Amino acid sequence: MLDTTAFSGALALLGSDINIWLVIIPGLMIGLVAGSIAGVSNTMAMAICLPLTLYMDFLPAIMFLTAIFTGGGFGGAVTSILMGIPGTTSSVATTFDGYPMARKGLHNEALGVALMASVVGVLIGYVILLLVVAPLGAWVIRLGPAEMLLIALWGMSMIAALGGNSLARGLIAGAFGLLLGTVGMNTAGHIRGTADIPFLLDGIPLIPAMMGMFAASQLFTLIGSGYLIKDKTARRADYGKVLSGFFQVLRYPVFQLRGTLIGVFVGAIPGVGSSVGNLIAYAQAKRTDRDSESYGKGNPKGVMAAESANSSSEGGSMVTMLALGLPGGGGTAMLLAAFAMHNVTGGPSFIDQNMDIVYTIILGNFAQAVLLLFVGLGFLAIAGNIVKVPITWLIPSVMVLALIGAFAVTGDQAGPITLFFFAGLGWLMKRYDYPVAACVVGLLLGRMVESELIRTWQISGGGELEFFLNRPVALVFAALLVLSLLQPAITNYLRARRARQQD
Amino acid sequence: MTSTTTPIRWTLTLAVAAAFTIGPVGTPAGMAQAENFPERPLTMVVPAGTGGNNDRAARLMAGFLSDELGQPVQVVNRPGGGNMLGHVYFQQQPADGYTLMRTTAIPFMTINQLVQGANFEIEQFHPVNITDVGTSIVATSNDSPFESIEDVLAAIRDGQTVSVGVQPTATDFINLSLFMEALGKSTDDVRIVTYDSGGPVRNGIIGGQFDIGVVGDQGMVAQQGEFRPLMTFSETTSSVWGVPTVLEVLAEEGVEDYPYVLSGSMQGYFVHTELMDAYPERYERIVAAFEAISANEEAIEAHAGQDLGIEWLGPDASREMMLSQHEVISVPEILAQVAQD
Repeated sequence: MLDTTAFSGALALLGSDINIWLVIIPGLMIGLVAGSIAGVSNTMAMAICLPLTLYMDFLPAIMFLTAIFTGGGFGGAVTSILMGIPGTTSSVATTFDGYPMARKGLHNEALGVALMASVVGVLIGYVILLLVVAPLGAWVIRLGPAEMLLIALWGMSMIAALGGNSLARGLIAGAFGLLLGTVGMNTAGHIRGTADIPFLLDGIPLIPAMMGMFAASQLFTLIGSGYLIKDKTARRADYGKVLSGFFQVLRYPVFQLRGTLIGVFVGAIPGVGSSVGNLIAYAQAKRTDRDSESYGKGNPKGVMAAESANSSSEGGSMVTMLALGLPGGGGTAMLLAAFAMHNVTGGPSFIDQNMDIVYTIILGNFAQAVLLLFVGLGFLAIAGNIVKVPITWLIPSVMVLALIGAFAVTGDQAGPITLFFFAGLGWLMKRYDYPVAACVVGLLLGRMVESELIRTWQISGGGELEFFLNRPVALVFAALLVLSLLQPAITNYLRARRARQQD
Repeated sequence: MTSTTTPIRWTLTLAVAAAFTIGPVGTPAGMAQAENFPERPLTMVVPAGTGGNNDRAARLMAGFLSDELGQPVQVVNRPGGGNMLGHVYFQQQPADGYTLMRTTAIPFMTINQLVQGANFEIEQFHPVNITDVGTSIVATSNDSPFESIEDVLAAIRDGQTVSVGVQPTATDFINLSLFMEALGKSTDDVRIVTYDSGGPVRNGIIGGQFDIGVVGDQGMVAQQGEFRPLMTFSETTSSVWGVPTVLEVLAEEGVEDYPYVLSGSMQGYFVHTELMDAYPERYERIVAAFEAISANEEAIEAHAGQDLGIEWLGPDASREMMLSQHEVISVPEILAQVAQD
């Protein structure tokens, strides 16, 4: 599994050029800042910095870009926790427990949990990459429409977990979100629900819509309260508490490891990535925990699951890029572009001939994960001060920032208009007690679910059973999905039986 | 209190927002200053998302172009609607030479105009240089039971199910459709699996997610050996793929007159056609810059590494090639193939 000659070659390469190390900290900082600005995605930050790498050697260039990738993976958690507004689609699930923790005055702990979960997630993600990059790459590329559909449905099972007290309201909100997600031109070329508005041809702009709904439902409920946190003494950045968050992660290794594995696996599938991974990891954590009632009310394990998954998906997304030269998403497409700028062609021949470089990239990312711990701490010392801002200042500032972010995403009025429209919708849903998060999850996954459903239908000749019987992986996925949905019922049944036997 | 965080966020967000607005906001310079063109940053519109073929090409070219012109060139992505939103956006910008575009002109401009009802005509876009002309290829995975295109045709005749991954808005689909028709079959005789862009089709071919795929061969060269090419939609045998052409396959099948062999796609750099009359000096300056880059060793090497074209064809030849291909596709029977789906 591990090629020792290449490995020692990698160690030599890492020691050969000081520039490899000098670019890591600036890269992490760019990623952190970009990730925490609503509307600026990792891909966008990497695209903006890509031309800079022309003036670097190959390895420093790749280190710089992967550092942005790593920093951005955690950066999204900051706004998710402190303001309840995810900066990127991959940190949606972080808000579910991170924001309630912040409201309770546990923002330091929540940020500590998120940072540690991210660091460990990146580390384990790359360890897995180190061991199985080639076989995993060859395997995930075989996953066809039927398997992808099941993964999308697995992510959708999240909706049931978001209903709160009323499952029906959760399902209605989720179904509504799904319908909104199908607006635009679908994969077979049919146009639905665009009301002749040209920008809707490509679907509702996801990030402005998501920000609008979360911003309205979170911020408007704050009106009337003086500060984000009631307790005055809790309103400060406290390193001791951040550290206690670190240790909470180490107390639940199973939750961390499961989130990480889900993140790597889902992240490795081309076209899926971290925005689905963090939802699946959160839903899995909630379903398997004895104390599932406390999720959504500030359970640190929820933050851990979401953050471990979205950070480890970075390692996952590198799988097909390194093994096959195929980008799975925007971030890895940027890395491949940087490869090409330095006349390095990705693909199987690359991994065969340059295993030492592959190992260098992986080992360099270990170092990035460790440095993220320190750079992240420094960043939290600044960002944590948001809780000291009076609400009357905070709400307008956040709204303006969200507006600019929405504009940056689409580059025209479509973003801000979408933001306002969905802010109104979010407010209405909140007022009538429908879970906004369920609607957002539906919106995020609607397009993927529909596209994969259409393709599954097309490839199976209209749902012929024979097709599915020849896809063992799809059958295993389906069985796993059913089992994971039934798990709470099964554990309850077993627990009840044990209790009866004891009586 | 917030003073430590807010200004940083403000400036950064503003910088990002500003980067997106710089192009359209500038004031038009008078004719007298035309010799000093360009005197402010230029914008290159990409009507597709970040990371795709056009985006990578535009970002690579932007670097060399700003060296040539002495002003930064900002890439702006305007994806959506089969490149239509970006094409419309480009046409809305002033024809002053400060907005350029990198796009897949054929077939998208044709389809935008004739099928989707866009409010522009392809003649309004003027190519400075068409750099990449793709070929549709039929391919399958390395462990597929299909060793050759004959195997595929035999399976279809045999009534076996054959699933075909393809992008329904691309010329690949038109080529497939015409090919099936020439054989006396239709696309209903296979299971068409539709994808939104070429990337997933390529992944699907390599991973064997469907039986065969039809896709542009750009971006496939780097993956040589990872999949099995079966046939090219070209008039002459490709030196890269070395598999039979559609004409050879059909001759073997006894079909003599095949109507159209369409190129997979045509990509290149564009200005407004209006620019040539409005600011002829600026137009000349832009053309000269692109021509110089085509001869720049460093640029040639960088493009070769990315499997991107850079060879100089020039505006006149590019325009002629684009419009003649446009005319070929504009035949109702071909457009009907797109509109059907």
